[in-house]
Amino acid sequence: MVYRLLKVELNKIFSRPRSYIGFVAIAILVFIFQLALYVDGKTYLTFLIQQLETNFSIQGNILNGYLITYIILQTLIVQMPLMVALVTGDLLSGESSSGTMRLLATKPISRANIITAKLIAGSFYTLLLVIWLGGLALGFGLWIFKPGDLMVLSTDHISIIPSSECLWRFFAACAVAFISLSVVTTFSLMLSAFSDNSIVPIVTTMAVIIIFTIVGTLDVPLFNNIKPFLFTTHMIVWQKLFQDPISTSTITKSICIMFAYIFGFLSVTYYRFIKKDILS
Amino acid sequence: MIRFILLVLLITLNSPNYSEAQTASQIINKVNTNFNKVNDYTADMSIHIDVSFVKMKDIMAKVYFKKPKKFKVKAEGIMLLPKQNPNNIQAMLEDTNSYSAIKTGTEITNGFNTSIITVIPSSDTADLILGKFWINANKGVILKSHLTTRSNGNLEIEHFYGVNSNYALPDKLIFTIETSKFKLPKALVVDLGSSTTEDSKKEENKKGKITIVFSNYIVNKGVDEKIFK
Amino acid sequence: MENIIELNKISKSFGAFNAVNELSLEVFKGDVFGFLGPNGAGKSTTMRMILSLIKPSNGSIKIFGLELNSHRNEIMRRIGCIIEKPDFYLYMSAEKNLQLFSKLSNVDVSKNKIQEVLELVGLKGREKDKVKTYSHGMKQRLGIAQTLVHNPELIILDEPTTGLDPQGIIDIREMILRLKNEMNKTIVLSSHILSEIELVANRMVIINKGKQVVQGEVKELLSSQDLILSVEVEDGKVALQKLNGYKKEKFSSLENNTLKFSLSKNEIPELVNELSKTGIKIYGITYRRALEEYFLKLTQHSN
Repeated sequence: MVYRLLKVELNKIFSRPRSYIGFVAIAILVFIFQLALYVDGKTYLTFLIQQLETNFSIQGNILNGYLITYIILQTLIVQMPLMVALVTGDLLSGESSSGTMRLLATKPISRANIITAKLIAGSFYTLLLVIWLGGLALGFGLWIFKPGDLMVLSTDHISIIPSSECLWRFFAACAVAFISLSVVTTFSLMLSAFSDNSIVPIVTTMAVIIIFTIVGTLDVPLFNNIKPFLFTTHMIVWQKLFQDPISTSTITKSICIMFAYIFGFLSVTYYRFIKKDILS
Repeated sequence: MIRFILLVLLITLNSPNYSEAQTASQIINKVNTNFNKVNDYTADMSIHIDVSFVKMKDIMAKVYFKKPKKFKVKAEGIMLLPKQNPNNIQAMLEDTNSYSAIKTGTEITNGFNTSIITVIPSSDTADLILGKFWINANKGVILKSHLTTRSNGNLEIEHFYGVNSNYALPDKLIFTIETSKFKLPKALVVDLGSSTTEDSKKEENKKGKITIVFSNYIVNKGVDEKIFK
Repeated sequence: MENIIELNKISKSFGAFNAVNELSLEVFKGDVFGFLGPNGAGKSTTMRMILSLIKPSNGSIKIFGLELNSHRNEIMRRIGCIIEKPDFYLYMSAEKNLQLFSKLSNVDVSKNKIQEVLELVGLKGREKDKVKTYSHGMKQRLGIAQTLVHNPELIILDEPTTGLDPQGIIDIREMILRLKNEMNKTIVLSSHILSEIELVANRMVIINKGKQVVQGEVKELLSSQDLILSVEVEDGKVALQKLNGYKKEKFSSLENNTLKFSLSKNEIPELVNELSKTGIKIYGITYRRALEEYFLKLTQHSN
């Protein structure tokens, strides 16, 4: 029955024009970044590595497809959760606001199955977005800029990843990014279970992510105790795949924490939706 | 003016006589003689960077040289090399008119007796301000260099030799460089995950090491001109 | 007679507010069961409890002889319903909506069946159009199509004629009768208009403030000989004085110069004659059945 429901949910998601906003936005953003870096990338890079050039003579194709892809992934960190929440935040509340929840909840399907199907459909949508972003950035990046070693710039160090190791790291990063965005999916789904209005879960999800991200970024001792508990702190752990050596324990820990959040959010969602009186 | 005073001081302090000044030149000539045996060479290079703010695996590269000054390093990916090219030192030492050399002492270096030769370039605009070389006079090879440059501050190079010492071609070079603190604004790099911790503050070492290991030398077998284009 | 729906003292509270208060009723197989009450009486709440949209605070619900709590999916497979206004996925066509909802009912419905159902409700030819282009009446009919597409045994309709024009109301009424007579469906429909229920239902219940007022066969409840006669006069008090106690036991109330008497149909001519004799001006005479009158009062109070 869940499979049947899943087909219906996927049908609903991909029948709505809103669902394609994310894909279009990503395509436009990727194109803009690649165009800008194609035209002005060398200038930007020169500015970034000028400190390094005081100590070293640098040779090689620095402005390559992998670097471009990395920059694009970095800069779309805030946008991706919005694109996900735009669809997943509407999964339950959208049905309530449009009145179709009444019909859905009177069908011979358990409420748990309804959530499960919506969760899988929402996760599938999220996965497609990640693949789309990664595929566009990496595919066009490598085609236009060619492969090369990846120079990862941090505030206080640089890492250079050999070209031969970049591809699997990007695949792994996409997998971890998918887990990160699944936290957003389940969080927005949870909010959707509490609301009869689509806007509230979407806006609330974004507000929470922005606030938590800002708190996580500020180098203030007051917030350092809170940071480990913010799910946004762990959502950016995919970046650690581009360090050498890779801190597998840190990444594993963050992934476990994210799964804990996913489990927590889902538990609340199931509990709420199963107990809820449907009055809309 | 300063150079002149330095030169006078060195001469005075070390009581050089005509024979000792000649000794410095002779020592350098011996080194140059070894250099001049090489018309061309190729070799494999392995570059290991030990600098606090650089994290990368060893770089595998290939070096090509052809007399008088053609020098090329090729690698598959990104390569960080010390700013000071050992071939530049060689070229400078070969041009005996461009500097003054004084023997300023002797020292045991890596188990060998070495003469310490101080070199002061004649030009005011040269990047090198002062060079000090620990030279094995018997073999005519430089075992250690200490360079003071305008652009990169102080630089120390340790030279290690194997079967190609008669060509003064090292098996290993260890560069010790002064490193300035590396810092980029977060906004530029979107580095959301990092924060300044006590550990990262401690890591600000002022010096770094670059170790270059040479192998598979092919000397005087000819090198295609196309490589240097 | 097979019980299709059995509500046994079900109650529902929202905080301190009791929306439904120990309501019991039975719906038998083949019934068209009218669920009447003024606005806010608890009709929709009760229907939502039957359809498991809301959980009762107390009491039990049995449908097809099965406990709703433990056999929900099995029961829902056999029910088709519209609660409040029918809502659909506006960005999809009618046909696609019906396909979708039939899949959710765990029934594979062929395109021919969908066409059949759409023809039954008068929407043939518009099946490919997106539902957002539909009028209210069309959506109402599509709602009924949706209840039928998986061939349920029990159909629950919550105020199906709301917002329809007179022809639309007639169409819905005729459809309901066809469903009962030709397709042997059991139908429960709610309304706040007694005359509507009277025209289609064979059994009914009236609830007010969550409690049952009366339940039974429509004919029995509405065939009562007792009528409420309303006579609008020039001056009600003067008219009463002049009647001088005539049919005093039948007198019900005086409201805004309208005298109300509870009497049988046979007694009406006599009373009217007597009033005429008093010389008082009579502006209008109407009568309703007692239950109708009662229900009208209920509706007026709730508004």
